[in-house]
Amino acid sequence: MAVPKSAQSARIPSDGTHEGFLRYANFRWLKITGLFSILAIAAYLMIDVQPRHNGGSWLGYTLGTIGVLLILWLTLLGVRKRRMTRGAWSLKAWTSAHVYLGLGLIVIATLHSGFQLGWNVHTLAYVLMMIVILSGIWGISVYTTLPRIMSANRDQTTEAQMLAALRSIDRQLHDAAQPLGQHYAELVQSALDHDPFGGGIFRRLSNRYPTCKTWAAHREISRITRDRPQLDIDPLEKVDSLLERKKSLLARTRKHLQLKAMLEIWLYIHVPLTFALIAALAAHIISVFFYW
Amino acid sequence: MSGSLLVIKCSGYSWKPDIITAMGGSVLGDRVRIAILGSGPAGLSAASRAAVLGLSHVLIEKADHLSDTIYKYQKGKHVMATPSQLVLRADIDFGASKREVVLETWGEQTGAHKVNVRYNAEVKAITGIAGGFSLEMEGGDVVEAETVVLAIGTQGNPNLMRCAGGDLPHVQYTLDDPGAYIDEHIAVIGAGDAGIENALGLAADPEQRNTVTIINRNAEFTTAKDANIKALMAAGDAGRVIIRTGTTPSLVEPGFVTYDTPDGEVRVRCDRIIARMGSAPPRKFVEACGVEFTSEDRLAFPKLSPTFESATPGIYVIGALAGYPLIKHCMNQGYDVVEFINGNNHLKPADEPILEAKFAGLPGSKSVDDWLEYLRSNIMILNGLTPLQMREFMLDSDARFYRAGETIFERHAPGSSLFSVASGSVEVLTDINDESKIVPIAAGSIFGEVGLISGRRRGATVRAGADSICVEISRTAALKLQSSVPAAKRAIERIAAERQLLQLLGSGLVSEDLSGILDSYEIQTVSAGKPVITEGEEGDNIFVIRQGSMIVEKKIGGKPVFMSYLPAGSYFGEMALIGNTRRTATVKAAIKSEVIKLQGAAFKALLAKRPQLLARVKADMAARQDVNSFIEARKDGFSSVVDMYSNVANFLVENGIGEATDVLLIDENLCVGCDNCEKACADSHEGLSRLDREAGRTYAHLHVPTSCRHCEHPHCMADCPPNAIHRGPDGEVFIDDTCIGCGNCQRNCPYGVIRMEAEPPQKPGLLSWLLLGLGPGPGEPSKKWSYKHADPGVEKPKKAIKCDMCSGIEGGPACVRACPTGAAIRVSPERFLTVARLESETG
Amino acid sequence: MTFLVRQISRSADGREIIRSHSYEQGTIFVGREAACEVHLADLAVELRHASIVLLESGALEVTALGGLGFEVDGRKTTQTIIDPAAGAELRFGSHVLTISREDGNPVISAQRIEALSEVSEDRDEIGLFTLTGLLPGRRVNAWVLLLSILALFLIWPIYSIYTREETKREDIKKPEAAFHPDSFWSSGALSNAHAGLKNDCKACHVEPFVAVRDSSCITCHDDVHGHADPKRLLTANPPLDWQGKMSRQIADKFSRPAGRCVECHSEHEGAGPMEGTKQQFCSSCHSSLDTRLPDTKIANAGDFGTAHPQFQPRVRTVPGDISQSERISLDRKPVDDGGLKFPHNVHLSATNGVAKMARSMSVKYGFGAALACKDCHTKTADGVRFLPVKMETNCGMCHSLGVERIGDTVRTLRHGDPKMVVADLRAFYRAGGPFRVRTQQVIEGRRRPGDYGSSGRYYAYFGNVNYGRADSAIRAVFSRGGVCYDCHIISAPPAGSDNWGVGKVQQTLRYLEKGWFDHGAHKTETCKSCHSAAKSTLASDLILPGIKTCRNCHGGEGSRTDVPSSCAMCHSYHADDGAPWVPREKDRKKSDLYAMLPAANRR
Repeated sequence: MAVPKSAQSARIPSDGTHEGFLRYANFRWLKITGLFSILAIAAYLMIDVQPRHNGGSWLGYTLGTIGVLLILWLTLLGVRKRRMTRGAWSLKAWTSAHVYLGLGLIVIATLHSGFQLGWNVHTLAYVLMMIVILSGIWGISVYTTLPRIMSANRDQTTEAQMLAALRSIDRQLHDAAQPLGQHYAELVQSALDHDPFGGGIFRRLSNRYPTCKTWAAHREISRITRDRPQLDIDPLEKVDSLLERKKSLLARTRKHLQLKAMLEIWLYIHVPLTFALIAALAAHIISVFFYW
Repeated sequence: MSGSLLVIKCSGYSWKPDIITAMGGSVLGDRVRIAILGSGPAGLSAASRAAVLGLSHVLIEKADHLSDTIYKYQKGKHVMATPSQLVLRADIDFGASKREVVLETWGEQTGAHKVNVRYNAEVKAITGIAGGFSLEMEGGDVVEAETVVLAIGTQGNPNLMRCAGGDLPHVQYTLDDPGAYIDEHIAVIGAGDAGIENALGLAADPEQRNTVTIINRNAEFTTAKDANIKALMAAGDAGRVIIRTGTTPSLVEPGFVTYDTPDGEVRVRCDRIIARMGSAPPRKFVEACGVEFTSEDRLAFPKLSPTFESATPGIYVIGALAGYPLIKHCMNQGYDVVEFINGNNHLKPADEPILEAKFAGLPGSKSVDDWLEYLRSNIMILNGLTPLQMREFMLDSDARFYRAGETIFERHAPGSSLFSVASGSVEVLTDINDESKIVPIAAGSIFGEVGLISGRRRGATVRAGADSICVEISRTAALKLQSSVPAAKRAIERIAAERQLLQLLGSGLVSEDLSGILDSYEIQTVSAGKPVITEGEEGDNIFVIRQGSMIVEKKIGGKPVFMSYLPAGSYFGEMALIGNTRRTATVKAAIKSEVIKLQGAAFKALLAKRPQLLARVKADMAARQDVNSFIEARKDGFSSVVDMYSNVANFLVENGIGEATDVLLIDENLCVGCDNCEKACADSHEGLSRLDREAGRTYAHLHVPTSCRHCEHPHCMADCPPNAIHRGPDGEVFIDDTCIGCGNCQRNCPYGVIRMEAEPPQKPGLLSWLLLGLGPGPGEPSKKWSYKHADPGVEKPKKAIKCDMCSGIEGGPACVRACPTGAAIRVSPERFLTVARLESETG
Repeated sequence: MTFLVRQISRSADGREIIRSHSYEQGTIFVGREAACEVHLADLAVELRHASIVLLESGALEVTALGGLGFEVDGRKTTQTIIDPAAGAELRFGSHVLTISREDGNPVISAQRIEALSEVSEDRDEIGLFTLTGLLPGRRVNAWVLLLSILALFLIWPIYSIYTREETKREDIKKPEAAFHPDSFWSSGALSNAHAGLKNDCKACHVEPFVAVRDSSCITCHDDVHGHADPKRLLTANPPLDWQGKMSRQIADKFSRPAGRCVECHSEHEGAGPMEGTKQQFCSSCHSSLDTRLPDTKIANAGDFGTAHPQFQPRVRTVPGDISQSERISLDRKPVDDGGLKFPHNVHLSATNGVAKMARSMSVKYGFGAALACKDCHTKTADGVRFLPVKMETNCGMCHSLGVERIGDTVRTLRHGDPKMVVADLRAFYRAGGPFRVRTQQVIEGRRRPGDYGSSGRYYAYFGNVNYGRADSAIRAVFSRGGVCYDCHIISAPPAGSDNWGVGKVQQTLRYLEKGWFDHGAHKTETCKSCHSAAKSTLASDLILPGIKTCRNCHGGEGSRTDVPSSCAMCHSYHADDGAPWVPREKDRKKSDLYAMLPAANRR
């Protein structure tokens, strides 16, 4: 809800407590990172290393050291997030720093490599790092776009409530279908037996459930009920409307699942690869000193 | 399967040592030294004492088992023994443990002491005088007794079904186990909280196939809590419960019941009737017995001598009825009262050590009784108290000695307690900038009352003017005091109003100036949403918000637009007065509030007399007009914006932020639903989360999760037997570990933020989870896990838990600190409007 | 006989709810229809699913009425007979009917054993709303990746290092096809020279965590000269700048001693040649050498184009005596007397008789219109410089020492052996030759040595002496105008003897000792463009081009000239009298500044 500047400045000035992790302390970490990157690039361009820039020059070692410390620190976010120690730290600040310093790593590591890539453990570490960072960027983008969609879709219902609603619908369906003939009964039964959230990660992400039995059952039944007068006593009509409701409920729940999945899935790349990265990094460093 | 068996066994539990009934029969007719009414902790203890002393006695219990109140606790409930520093002085043992254990011990020991009990016996009336009382029982027979001890508690008796057939066996007044009934048509009479909860419980499980009907006499649900009413309505819509309003039962027959409904009589199937029509407090009966009360107030207690003897000699009152809700107190009094009756007058009450400790710090060595008397006589508002009340009063209060110049409390320090000056004098620093501007308060008077009344932080720093002895009266004690001593209540009110005005209007007013308006002031209580003044009406009275808060609305283009929010301690109505206009805006209560109404005329006079006050008021008025015009100006330009602002503001007020002092909000533009706030909360509070991020209302992506708002007048404090709920140094409302797990606070909280939970077992360290996945990970462990890993044998009591704003945790509320995206924010009412007009944070 | 039907269900809090009915009839029905005695609210059950008939025997006959059958103790069937005493379990849809007998009556207890629907099964709700179960856990993945990467890229290489035998010296140059795990660690391809060591890291990285030492290099490069006396070298080094100092300190910290081969010959810089030395590498010392080594003989030298001293060829200070020589800057116009009399100008003239004669002999020797340098100067095999000029092959083409013709054969004086010349002449005179000679000389025109020269045009001249005596002829040969005297420095014999002395002729093959000049590399140029032979009248003229001439084409490294030339083009760090080291032809990248170097000096 955009409010004209004048409005914000009226009477009570809005203060910093309410700001996202990206614009934390009005982009402090973005500024810091930017500044540092520029310095690094300048150093890279000005300092003449023979025969060419590489990790072995003093600049290379410096950048490398900074890089590895940075990586380890960035990894620590996982601990910081979960370790509820006392003290005036704010995870928002950490996230902010994590995001921007993580992006800064691109510059540092690339300069460290001196653009010398090859089929070796050193490049492996570099590539892993880039993948981690890219997945992170993706994460940021979903974090900034999806929440409001999710909140809108959720519409004040909690996950437990969604399931509860489905349960009660199912129960009502079950009861309503009792008087039906075997054919329809089986249709409804199939709709009840079918796991509406099953079908693996891709279904979850794409939010497409082509084989959903509820849809099938509703299609079949509404085909009959469509061209019949609405009679409340007709159990088929009741089942029809119940299926209708279950459909909309399912739609919302699945949308919710999809959004949550999208908010989460990137971590399944980001986190494991981080550790792969750390391993590669260890190999990188040890090998360098091993073959000194 | 086995589970259900167990349940059935429990429900068959009984506390009736048979030998006692036998004896109960034998004492009929002949006179006993002591007749004890009620076999609660107090009664039991008294009876056992009597038995041990070999005094002839009878313990009269209306139920068919001992201590009915505790008996009605849910199975396995952990019964606490607080206050821990209080020594137990009784012939029957008591220690914190399970309901079953407690009752069993008592059962056995009363049996062992050969206590003489009469079950299913209820006293209708008590006549006679000391030495010769005759207790007339239900069903005619009479018990003769020299002294009577009333230990009947405060629960009283449920209101009975008056209609024909109301005495049929399938009419019951309690519901122990909703799960016990299947395939029945059950009617619940009375739609109070109890009734609704029973009805919902009976209808909860469709598998039981009960047909549940709830009957409400009125068309509206007036007595029940909002949450309960909502739940009931939902159940009604789902067809699980039949709701009949404006209906009364007129005839009860086996298998059927007949109702008077707005549209005539109906006769429907009914296998069981559960009557929940509230209970009549025992006061009437007690007064009938000749016991006098300190005031008409609902909370007032009987007038008692230090030996618990009431106005009528020979009739003693102990236990909850005497104002001691805790089991230990009750049992001690049971012991004491029998000792007194037995002529032992040197017995010091069991709480003596506690009081001695309290007075230890004071100069001059006086005995406890002398100190009590000293304070009572020196402090005006305490004059009306009986020695016994003084004792009890001091148990909840503290007497302290301050050297001259010592600070008693700082400005803006939170605190809801009332102070009174017993000796010496104190100084109030009215001006932050100018140390010299002080208002002295003399001995006998009080201070700090604003905190008590408005629940807001201290308005000014107070320090001792001379060496002084002050009594800090805890909020609960103060409330008890006001209800039991009306004079005290009035005194406090007046002083409060005067001081509040002085502080509010400032500009060098002195109390003399106010005498004019204060002669005509009155205190109005406004229920939530009701307007105090309405836009466009006549009127020139000035209102000062004493409690709660108000929202100001103005009709713009036909629809009300939120203008501003007035917290307690602000005044309104000046525009009409000064401008001689009609009311320019509507001011209505955001929550149940109290306002001081000042007569316009009187105030005008004051303004005339005090030009700088006039200036001050005009300045305030101008400021407010600016805001109004600011909003009105924007009305055309950014109507949507203004609507948004006004809607969000209203939304926040609806969600109880009007009475909040600090509330957690979540901007769902940023919230990724990681629940780190909950996990953080759990991990900083012995593994239990005190907030539910997901639940709660949302408006325009602004989400109010289910977590404590730290109300100005916390509903949860209203009824806490061990007085375990306090307002902490940072304004947080917290529950200390004297909690007995009674669940009152949970029931009283309108926002459902209090849980009754047992502390989960220790989790493995974070690293072992991170690395090896040991344990349930961060946050509150699942019930399953806790159950599996609970160390066997050790029964962890369920206690009430709620947000304590991470008091004592350096760094502040964990939920906010632990939010990775900055979605979680905490706001105080002064600031929440900035949130209302917050520009959406797309960051 | 009565049927007891028990409907068993569970309440939410798990307790069992039993609803019993009894039916005084011989047949009861199982079905979804409310009318059925055994009413199963189960959509998998038909409205009227089966009938249960009580037989005389007390057994029960269960018959499916509709299409759907039922299960008896797990077997699907449509009709069965059950003895209640024995009991049995019938399965209809998600319900189970347990049949038993109580005091003579058959008891049928029906219970739902499957949840009513998928969602209504109590599932781990937190689980449902996360990706747990849909994807392998993050922790597991992390561990797997972590460990596998460590194993693959750390453990395996280290293991392999200690299990591999050394590369044989001769294989070093041919890269090994087989894969070796520690090549994971290679920060870049080895230079071609070391390609063969690709898989034998230990060849250079002898000890773990110890920086490569020169010893490793020397095992193969055992013939490398040092640059200078190490002590002087140290003093000669320019002071380090802040960078240098810092790197130095870091290096010391990490035990990387200074002055190791690898500091200049950095490896793993990618396949191809090892990089040539950059000019700045030399100039850093040499441009200001005298400041640090006051006593040095080496002039300061920096960029070739701007800061290189004039060449200093080594020339004889005593004519014909190389043992007494010194290096003199060309600017001082040094001469160098090798003991030969030879006017280049005469021989190279296009107009004089020499030229005519050349033309006349062009058929035989392929001379051009006039003589050219190449007619007498022949390249060395490597084409770097020129062989000494030989009398017999080069001069002899025109200048014969013929004395008389006998038939086709011409008798000549012996070159390089004065005594034999004297002897021959005496012998000749004893045979009284001179008279014929004389007539000849009278007939023919101008006199020149070698009358019976291979061309047959000239004859030897014995001076206008009295021909009757050999002595006079001998003197004439060794004296001005005599055949020897023309080209050589003659020393007269002591009185009364015949041993005339003929000065040795010395020819210098390489004047510039310190620098390396390669004629082959300058094919594009003509001799003239550098050597002004055509104007030289004396053989002692030093017709070497000065640095100016070179600078016409050559400039310092990175200069704008046609041939930017770093020091390494002419000088070698590990100086010997061979050519400086440069990368192989096939290794050269485009725009390599060594592009114009001939194959000869590519080691």
